[in-house]
Amino acid sequence: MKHGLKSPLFWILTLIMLVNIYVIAFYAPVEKTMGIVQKVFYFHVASAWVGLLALCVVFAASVLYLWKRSERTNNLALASAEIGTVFISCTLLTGPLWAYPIWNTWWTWDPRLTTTLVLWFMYVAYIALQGGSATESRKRLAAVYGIICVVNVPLVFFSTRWWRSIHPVVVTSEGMALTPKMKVAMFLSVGVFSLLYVYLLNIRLKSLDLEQRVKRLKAELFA
Amino acid sequence: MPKFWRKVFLIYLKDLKDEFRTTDHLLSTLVFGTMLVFVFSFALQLVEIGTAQVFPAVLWVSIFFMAILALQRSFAKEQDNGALDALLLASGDRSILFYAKFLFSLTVLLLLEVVVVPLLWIFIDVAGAKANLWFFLGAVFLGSWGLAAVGTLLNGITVQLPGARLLFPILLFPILIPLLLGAILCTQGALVGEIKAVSGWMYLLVIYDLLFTILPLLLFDYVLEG
Amino acid sequence: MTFFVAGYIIVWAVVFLYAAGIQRRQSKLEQELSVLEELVQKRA
Repeated sequence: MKHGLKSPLFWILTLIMLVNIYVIAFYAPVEKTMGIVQKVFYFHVASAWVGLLALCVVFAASVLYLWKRSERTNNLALASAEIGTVFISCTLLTGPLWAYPIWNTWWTWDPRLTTTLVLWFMYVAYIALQGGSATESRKRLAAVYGIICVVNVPLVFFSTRWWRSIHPVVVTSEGMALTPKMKVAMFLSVGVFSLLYVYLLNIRLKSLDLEQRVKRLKAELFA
Repeated sequence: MPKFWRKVFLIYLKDLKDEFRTTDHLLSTLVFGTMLVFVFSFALQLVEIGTAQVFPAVLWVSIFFMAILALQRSFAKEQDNGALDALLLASGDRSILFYAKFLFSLTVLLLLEVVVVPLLWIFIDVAGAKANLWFFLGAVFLGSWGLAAVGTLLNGITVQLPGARLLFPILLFPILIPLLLGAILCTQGALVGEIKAVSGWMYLLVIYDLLFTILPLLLFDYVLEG
Repeated sequence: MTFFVAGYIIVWAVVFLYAAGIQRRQSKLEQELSVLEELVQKRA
């Protein structure tokens, strides 16, 4: 497949992104109590969704790597983890922008917030583990760590939720009911972001492939 | 099965003997932990915070930092002269090695805590009149158990990467978050003597410990492969 | 409104920076690859 400006996926993506922004800005109604700030929500939720989707892919690819030991599954896990980090960062950055005007604080220890932050740390640790020289042992160990992380995520979520439900709840995190038009905008955003994930995954996989080709050629030449 | 645990026990004994032959690492870790506890309580004293309330948090953060040093030992000392390969050959099963190293780490951690925890208790001047001591000790034990299990598993990972010492705490801390939460809340409940309210967190600790004690059975083969 | 705009700008900026990073690495690699291929041809 072509990449860059020649790829059809790139142009389709650009087009539906513009449509998406239009839908969010003009089609979806302004929320009554929160006002226009609520519109951050569409990107916020969509990037959080991609962050979780990427985690599932990391898990599946890690299991597959331990089983099949092909370079491609490791590439898939690494690329997915990188993109997951990008989108979780977006979630963490856009969240406070909404929370500050609405909850009057940049951060609370809501289970979702805490889990997202821990998820971000795990992604970063995973990438740090993969970083450096791409030896066979690094890939194998990273796959093991990826599996440990995914096992840990539900533990983090349920323990933080349990903690918060025992304590008095200061703010309910999602007191928003969506109107049908808002739902359209949200599902469109989720769809667009998933597509963006696929696109980024694709180009990252290609660049990883290229990296390995260069490495092999070098080894051949200077052996 | 008894054979499995006999091998585990033999390697565990070997590690302990080895550790007490040259006590310098154990001692420096102990000194580090003591200093950590001192610095924390001193700093809190300066800002005049009600220090007894922060005891659980300070305790577990100190234990975490001390554990980084203590847990890094378990596999690191097998690095020289291909000792790890020899051990693998001798034991025949990689999970034997995991459980031996886990028990060793747990022992070391508990030994360090025997000194550090009472010291912090005294420094911070905890009003322990209502405290439930058995529950407190249970929380410390289960917390250390989980710490040793996850630490051993991840140390098996980082020890194979040359020059990746710093990676160990980075890999370790995100995984420890549920444990930190449960251990701190249990400790807090034990101090004020309200163990009924926090007994649920004890179950969380038990589940966490069991999970990360059994998970290596599946995963540790891949960690030490090759 | 400012928060809303800031949110969108942040998301785009982060995604764009990531894509640009990949692009830069890619072009560097492609250069390297062409040099290497030339070398291989010379050798052959």
